[in-house]
Amino acid sequence: MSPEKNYVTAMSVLLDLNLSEEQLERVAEHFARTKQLAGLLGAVPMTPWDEPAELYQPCPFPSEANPS
Amino acid sequence: MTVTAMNIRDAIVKGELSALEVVQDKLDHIQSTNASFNAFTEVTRDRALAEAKSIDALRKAGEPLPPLAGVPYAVKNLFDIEGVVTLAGSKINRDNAPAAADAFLVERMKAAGGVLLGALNMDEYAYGFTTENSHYGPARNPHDTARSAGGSSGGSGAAVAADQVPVALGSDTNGSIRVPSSLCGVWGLKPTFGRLSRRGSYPFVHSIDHLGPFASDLLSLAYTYDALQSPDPHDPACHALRVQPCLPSLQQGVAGLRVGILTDYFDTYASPPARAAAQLAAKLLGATDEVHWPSPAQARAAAFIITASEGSNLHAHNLKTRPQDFEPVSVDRFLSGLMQPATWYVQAQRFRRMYRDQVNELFANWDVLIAPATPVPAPQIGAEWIDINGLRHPCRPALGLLTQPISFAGCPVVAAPMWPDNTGGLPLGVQIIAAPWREDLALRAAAVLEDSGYATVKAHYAGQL
Repeated sequence: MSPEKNYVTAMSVLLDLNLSEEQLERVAEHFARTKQLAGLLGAVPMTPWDEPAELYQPCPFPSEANPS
Repeated sequence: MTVTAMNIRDAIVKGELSALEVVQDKLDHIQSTNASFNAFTEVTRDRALAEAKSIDALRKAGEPLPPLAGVPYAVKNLFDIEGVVTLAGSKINRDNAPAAADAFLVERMKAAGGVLLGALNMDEYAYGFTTENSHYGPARNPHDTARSAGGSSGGSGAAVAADQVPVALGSDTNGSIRVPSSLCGVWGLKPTFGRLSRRGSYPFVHSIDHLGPFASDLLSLAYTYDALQSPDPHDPACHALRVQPCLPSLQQGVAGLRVGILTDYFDTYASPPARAAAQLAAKLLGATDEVHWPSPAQARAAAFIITASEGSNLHAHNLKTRPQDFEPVSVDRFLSGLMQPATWYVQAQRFRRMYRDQVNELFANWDVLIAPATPVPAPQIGAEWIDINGLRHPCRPALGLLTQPISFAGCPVVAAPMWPDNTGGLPLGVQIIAAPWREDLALRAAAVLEDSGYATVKAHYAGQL
């Protein structure tokens, strides 16, 4: 069994997914393709200070006109 | 020759046509052609007639008419339409209650005088580039109904190409406006990430989803885009704080603009006709230099991973409890996404910040960049593989190879309909890319292409008007 198939099989149990053997095979194929793409990103040099792209904001930054 | 949205609006303003006549004609055209193209999943006839009558009443009363007065349009079926169930291409969502209110952009269209004709076909939950939808049938390409209309906004591209509506709205996460624009040969605009509010649309990938218009000519695309603009503090990703109209500068040409053509990755994944289309567009815009886009393969990988993680997370409960009700061609991708390690997702988001800075740095030296929109023209419906320069690629994900890196940066892109040789008469679009918040520059360049006569919509199925 491929490592991808092993992983997908284990994850399907952990996530309570009831997948047939055939579907596990197909999902493992997708997963293997994504793993190759993840490898491209893993090779990008980054430092611990390279932060994720932002979205979360606790609240709008106070403007000078309305500092509170 | 198509009748454009602005032709219709002008005829209504002058009293040459009533909005009701226009809508009746389009409803008849949809009824007689929808079996061929399968673009519409719902026709909102009563609403359309009521909206048309209200435009005619305004004119009769001598009131000023809004910018899209009487213009028929339709929306991808992930936009909320009051009183209609928002399917988002799925079977599962049929169980949901009808939408209580219109989506923000549908409200904008209504305020601008648009007349809504209905909801349009799409890939289930927007996860696809082909609109092969088992629940509602595939959207068919009006230029060859055995071929895909592209996706995920395939119904939007097909409806405009088939002259069922002159304007449509769609969404684009990884290419879902630009791919159907390219394959159907119509104009499309994916604005800057954060330009248009997504409130009231069914989400696919929160951190990459964009909404935007399709049209059968550039002026109508520009009018529609300006009408859609409005800050919206209720969409956390709507970063635009004011309207920046594009119409005042639309005809300024490209003199003084620095225009380049993307190479490397964008050649590798483009077939000869796709390269020819981009090269012709570049020549018409006076581009002489080849430009290297930063890290396109890594950007595509990051977009792919973020899409799979966020997209599958939204459907985790249903993937566990009723996986059999999902679209067969995309459910395995959703399941794979659900299992992705968190470190892949975090790495992709960290990469995105670096990538954003690299792309913004590139635009310090360029105003407009050109690239093909799709590697190939429309594939046959059901095709599993496409050939790009002698290499076999899985068809459904590969149609987005050239669009994903650009939308991941959030740049605005106009998809221009081009007609290169050796496609069997099929269209193949070109991306006109600008720096974030510079839709005006992309649209100015697009106007030059349209004026050249090489970028144009060829409707095969004109209505009566």
